[in-house]
Amino acid sequence: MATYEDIRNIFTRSSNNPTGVLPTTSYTLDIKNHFVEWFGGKELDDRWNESQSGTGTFAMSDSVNGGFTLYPASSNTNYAQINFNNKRPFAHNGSVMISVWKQPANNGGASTVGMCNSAGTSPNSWNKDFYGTRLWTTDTHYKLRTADASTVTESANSDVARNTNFNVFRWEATSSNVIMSVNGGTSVTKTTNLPTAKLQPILMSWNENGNRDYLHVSYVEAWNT
Amino acid sequence: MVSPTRTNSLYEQVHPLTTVMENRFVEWFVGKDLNHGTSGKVWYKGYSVSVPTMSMVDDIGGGFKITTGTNTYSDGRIYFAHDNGDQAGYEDSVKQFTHNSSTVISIFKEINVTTGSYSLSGFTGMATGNAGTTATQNANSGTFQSLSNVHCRTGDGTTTSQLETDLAKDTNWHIHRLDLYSANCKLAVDGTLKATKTTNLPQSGMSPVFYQAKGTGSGAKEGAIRYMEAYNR
Repeated sequence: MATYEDIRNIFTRSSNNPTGVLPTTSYTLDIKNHFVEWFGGKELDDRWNESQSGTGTFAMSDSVNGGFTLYPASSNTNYAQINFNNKRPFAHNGSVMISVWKQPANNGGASTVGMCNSAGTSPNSWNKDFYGTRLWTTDTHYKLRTADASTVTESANSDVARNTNFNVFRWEATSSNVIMSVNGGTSVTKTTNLPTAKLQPILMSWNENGNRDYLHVSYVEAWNT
Repeated sequence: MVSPTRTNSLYEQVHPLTTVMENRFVEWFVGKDLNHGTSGKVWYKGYSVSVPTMSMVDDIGGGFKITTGTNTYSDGRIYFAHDNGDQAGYEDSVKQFTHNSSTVISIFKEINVTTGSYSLSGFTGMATGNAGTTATQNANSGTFQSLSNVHCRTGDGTTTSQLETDLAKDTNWHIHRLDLYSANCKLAVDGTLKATKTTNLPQSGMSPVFYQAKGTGSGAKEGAIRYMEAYNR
């Protein structure tokens, strides 16, 4: 599993070097954008944008491994979302996102985690130029969801049943497919309705018919390949 | 490059637990905005002459961009400072990195290599009242309006001077690495050692900095940065 592989490489190759010169082999990787968020501390920093309809809740969880929590307002279609406010440094056809997140209950709400082009305009956030996972109340397993500019579709069930624990999701987008793995297990590959435009991370908790659930996220890492 | 050995911590990728790590800082330059402001954030945004535009770029691998004002000697700069709000002038920098045993790595580019533009990244010892980078302790690299090639630039608090490399200025992303020692400052660009400067070396601690300025010429000048790492050795 490559969860922390890239950042390890970065730290390793930038460690002390008496000649003061990095090895040439590091530069292809170095030149790409990379991003790591641990969701620790008092609050989110200025890199993140909080979007919502209604008045939702955004907070660091005061609990062990709690991460950051999102909870939408009480009305149907209300959402609570964090994104980069449409600053989109990641490629639709060459990027990876890793996230550790959970929806600790199923009260009829939905959670969405992945990369999108149009933030803060739900449901466009998950229906247009998107890759990631949307966990709907009727889902029995995690799925891979992708959208091009006009059409959104989902894969068949992965081999990981929905649960209330933190899971590690890894999505990789190339020019020909998007591949998802959950907890390092069997991959799900999707070749249709791939995103077509630059992307940003999105994490969203959604109210469906007055039903809502918390979304907890404890780690996000993303980079261009 | 030696493949990293898998451990449970990032710390152990840099040092064994028997070694107390010195200061280290990593900035990815992605997201809605720079982590800056008046309530204990990381970066301070300063400028001279006219207000620059400083923001994240909405583009793949775009990083963070500074666009200066159009008046002569306009600039924009980000560094660590005790912040009274982003403003004109020179705030006292937070000097966490040593002048003689530290490293700073930056990936940045000058967007318009035209007359009067300069883009610099590295360390600054900017203090309240300093007039730009010339009167400060500093060690940085990049482009300078009057030079054709990339240069290594250091200042000892009284005099700042440049050592020009053989690398012509261009508009591409480059990886600049500065290693500071008591006897010299080494500049490597894209993995190749390009300069070893021994004069006017900084004499005290400094802060990471990215700096875009307009000297002479017409129009605003732009530079962008998308990675910075600094550490004491």
